[in-house]
Amino acid sequence: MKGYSIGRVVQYARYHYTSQTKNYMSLFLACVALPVLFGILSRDVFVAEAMSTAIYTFGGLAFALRTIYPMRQQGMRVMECSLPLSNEERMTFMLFNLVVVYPIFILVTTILGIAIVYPFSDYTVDVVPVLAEVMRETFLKWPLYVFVQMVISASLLLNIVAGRNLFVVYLGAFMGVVAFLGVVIRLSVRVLMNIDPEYIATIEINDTAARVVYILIPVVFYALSYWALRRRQMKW
Amino acid sequence: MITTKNLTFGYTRGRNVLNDITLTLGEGHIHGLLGCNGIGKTTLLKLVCGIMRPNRGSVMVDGVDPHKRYPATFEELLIIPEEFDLPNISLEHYAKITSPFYPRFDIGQMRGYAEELGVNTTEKLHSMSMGQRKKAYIAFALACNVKMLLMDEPTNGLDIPSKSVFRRLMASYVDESRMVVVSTHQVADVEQLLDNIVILDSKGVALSATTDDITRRVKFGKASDDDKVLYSEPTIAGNMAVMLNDGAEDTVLNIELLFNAVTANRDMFSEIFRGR
Repeated sequence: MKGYSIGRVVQYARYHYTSQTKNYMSLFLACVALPVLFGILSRDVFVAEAMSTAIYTFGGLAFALRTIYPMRQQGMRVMECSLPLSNEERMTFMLFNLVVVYPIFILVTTILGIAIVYPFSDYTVDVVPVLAEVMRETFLKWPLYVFVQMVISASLLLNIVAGRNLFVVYLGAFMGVVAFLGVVIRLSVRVLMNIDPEYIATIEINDTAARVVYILIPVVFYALSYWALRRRQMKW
Repeated sequence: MITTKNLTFGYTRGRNVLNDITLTLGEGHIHGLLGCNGIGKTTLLKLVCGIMRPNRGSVMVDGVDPHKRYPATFEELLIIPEEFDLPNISLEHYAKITSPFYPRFDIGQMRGYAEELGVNTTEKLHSMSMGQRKKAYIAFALACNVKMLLMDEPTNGLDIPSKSVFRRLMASYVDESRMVVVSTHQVADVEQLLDNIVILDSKGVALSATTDDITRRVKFGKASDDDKVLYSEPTIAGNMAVMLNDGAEDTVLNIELLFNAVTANRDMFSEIFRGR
């Protein structure tokens, strides 16, 4: 990490957010507009809340894309990639943006969406319990946070390794995940059908190990992203 | 100093864009990088910026592999790409957020350059024309005071008065500790500016020589019976030729003619410039 400087990371964050304000604002408006639209149409504040949770889960795909966008965009990439910023510093910023800023970003859009939908809702509930539910069910639930990080880190990795045609890479990854899940489910069913149910009842799942494996998945994706970033070439 | 050694690069396997490029570009010069379309000039600049890695050979910037992306290397290296996009903020604001990356940046200098180029530093960059935006970025880039400034087709989009201002600024920018590499097809725009010419072709470096060395060895103009003509081509003013400069005659360099001559008779010119 020759010459690593946290000051440069802060400088880069300032540069990034200023130069990408318009793009982040578009994303912000989309993240507010969708729950508001569905909430108002159904006249139900909980629909808006559910929609915000869905956006929180999969909006990370777009947020990761925004984070790395200047490195991929035709007109910006040469200048962006030749900034005096090491791979470690860039990765630090990316982690900060995806691990810290993204949940805050979605929390703000969720609160805003609920506040807008609330007057149109048929339910006569107080806004405070709704927001408390949002916090409890969405932002304070660690398994959901880890799942969101899994989606984001995978998206970041795809954005780094993908060439010009990002859509094809996303499509390929999606098909890969579907195929993987299909194989796992089929194998599980086949295995379970051949095992004595009494034996299954005796199996003890090690909770801690399962949690560690679960948490390790986004960590591995981020580590792979860093490795890919170091080797990245703009070969298109 | 930028050095490449047997640098070979291709975007796809088996199809190299750059072949066996061995070059040394030192400080104190304005280097002109010339070559036909698709020969790899822009690719070479990208390799120098570490955006891509050579398939074979090496590229070094002050003895460091730029692909390692050490900030200290890039604090001294800045590229003005042919096509670029700037955020929709004023040049002043852009300088404010970008200049901390460049330790020798001077805001006063940038304002001075912008004024000379006729750029309003408080105007939003997206409301400017492409040419204005390019001038704005040139003003910013010069004020960064980096050791190595790379420019890809810098005069594209500049109006006629701006081209002469650009030449003046470039000439005053280079000193013993700095260099500029200009990749261009518009040789007439930078002819009097360049003091080292690098011509690339599909086999590699067809010519790399200082303008002094070139004019010492060959001369340009209309040939007489005594001259040993190396290459000639018809122009409106008659046949213009590149000739051997046996008698160390003073001559004005004609880069376009030199380029055509070198690309037509690569081996002969290699022989002439060998062992200089």
